[in-house]
Amino acid sequence: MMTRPRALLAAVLAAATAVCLVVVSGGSSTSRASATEAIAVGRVHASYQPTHGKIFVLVIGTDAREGNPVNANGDAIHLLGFNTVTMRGGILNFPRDCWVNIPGHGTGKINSSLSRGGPRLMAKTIESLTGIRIGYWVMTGFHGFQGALAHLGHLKMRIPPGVNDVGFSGAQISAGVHRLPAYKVLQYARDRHDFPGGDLTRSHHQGDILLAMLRMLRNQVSGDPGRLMRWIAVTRRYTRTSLAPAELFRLGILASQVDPRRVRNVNVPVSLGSVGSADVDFIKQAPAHALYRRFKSHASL
Amino acid sequence: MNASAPVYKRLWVPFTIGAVLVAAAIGVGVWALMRGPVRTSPGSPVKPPAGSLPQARWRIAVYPAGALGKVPKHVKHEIAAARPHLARVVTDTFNALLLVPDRYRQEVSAYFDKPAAAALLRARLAPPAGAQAVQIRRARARIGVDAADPSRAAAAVDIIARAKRSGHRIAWHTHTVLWLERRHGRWSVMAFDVHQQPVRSHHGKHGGSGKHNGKHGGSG
Repeated sequence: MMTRPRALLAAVLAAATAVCLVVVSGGSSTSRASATEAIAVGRVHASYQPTHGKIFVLVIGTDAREGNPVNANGDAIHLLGFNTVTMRGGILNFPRDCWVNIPGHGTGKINSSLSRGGPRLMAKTIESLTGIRIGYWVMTGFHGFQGALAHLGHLKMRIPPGVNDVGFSGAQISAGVHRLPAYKVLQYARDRHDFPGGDLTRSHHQGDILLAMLRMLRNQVSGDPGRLMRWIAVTRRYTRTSLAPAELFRLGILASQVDPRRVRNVNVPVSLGSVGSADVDFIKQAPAHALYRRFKSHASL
Repeated sequence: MNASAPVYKRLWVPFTIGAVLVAAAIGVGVWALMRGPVRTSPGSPVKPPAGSLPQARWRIAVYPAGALGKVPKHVKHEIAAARPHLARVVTDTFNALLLVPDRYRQEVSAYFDKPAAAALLRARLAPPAGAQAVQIRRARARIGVDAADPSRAAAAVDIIARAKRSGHRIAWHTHTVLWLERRHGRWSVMAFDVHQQPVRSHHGKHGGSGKHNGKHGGSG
């Protein structure tokens, strides 16, 4: 039978050994598994990108025909989220007529928050609505959007039902998969007359366009990583943004490693109504808050 | 018994503390190793060992990337000046990986940011197990340097290598994207994406047909 001190000593040594083993096995198990796989078949896939945490970027499309003035209405409003751990993401679309509280300005349509206080106020409005801290914003108008896309190439998109909106946006596109030039993408992004859902469907289509752009970025960069510099250059020339070039570079690397199939495009749930003579969208509180909570905690939808 | 009891009583406390300290030291050591390599300065260029098989020459193109108009002359000069540095990052890293494995860790630590180096070393990128007489058949890099700010670059590196294993010839393709930034006058890799896979054998010839255009090789 062991004496008490010997038993204690043995216990301490056993515990110390266990601690060491836990530290070693916990830190290297993933590497060991991948190493075994690599040795067996000679296949390795590994990647690293330097952005950490959950990233939220507000993308604003304004109704300005030229330049990027801050006194325009923000008619396309999309909150992009990326989770750098799960490498999933989400696009949360806010229809422009959502009736919301605009901090310091009472209530109003969400698109008017841009003309009242610029992209910062719009970001603040969405932050107070969703509880999500927005890291960056990017804003562009008609000319900027079309100019940027003209430099990046035709956008491959699937158009579910054909559109014919000659009198308004000018969109005339048959159903199917197309490689759209910049001006047609802008027309499609503006078209709301061809759909029963009107602006709500348009808002979802704008999210689809962002997803198609993410796919295009990924395809271009995988073939020639130097293409990312062009995306940065057009963002700097054609948009107004809070992102510094170095941050754009990092976000571009992140975007090039995110699989667009892991990014969901979702509209904020709304019901149609009116305030005075204005048609507005009322956000459905319960489902919307569940959506915000999920987006906030996972940065994906 | 009565005489030895006080000795144990005197010893077990320092012995326990000692054991805990040893365990803690081992734990800290392991943690430090897992955190990643310590950054070192690049040494001499990594070259194939003397007497090794003839290796394909590196073909490296460095170009201004992302320009929306004409590239100013001073940017062209800056990019030309960056060429040898960027070329060394690529050649040293991959020559070490394939030809001088003893220097691989050192080169990765020298040229990669700490977390990126740790991630690459964790991936255990290496020639297939048992590969002998490794020969680089094709080594190409296209490095785009940001024309708007030549302190950022992206490199696409494609290598086709072959070796002998158990009397058979094997070949594999490594496609790597490296994202680089110049800080304090030094280029370092901040992010990467690497794919390595076997290349299908074409009548015993590997990498000479021009069909391996950078992204995918067949399965072997």
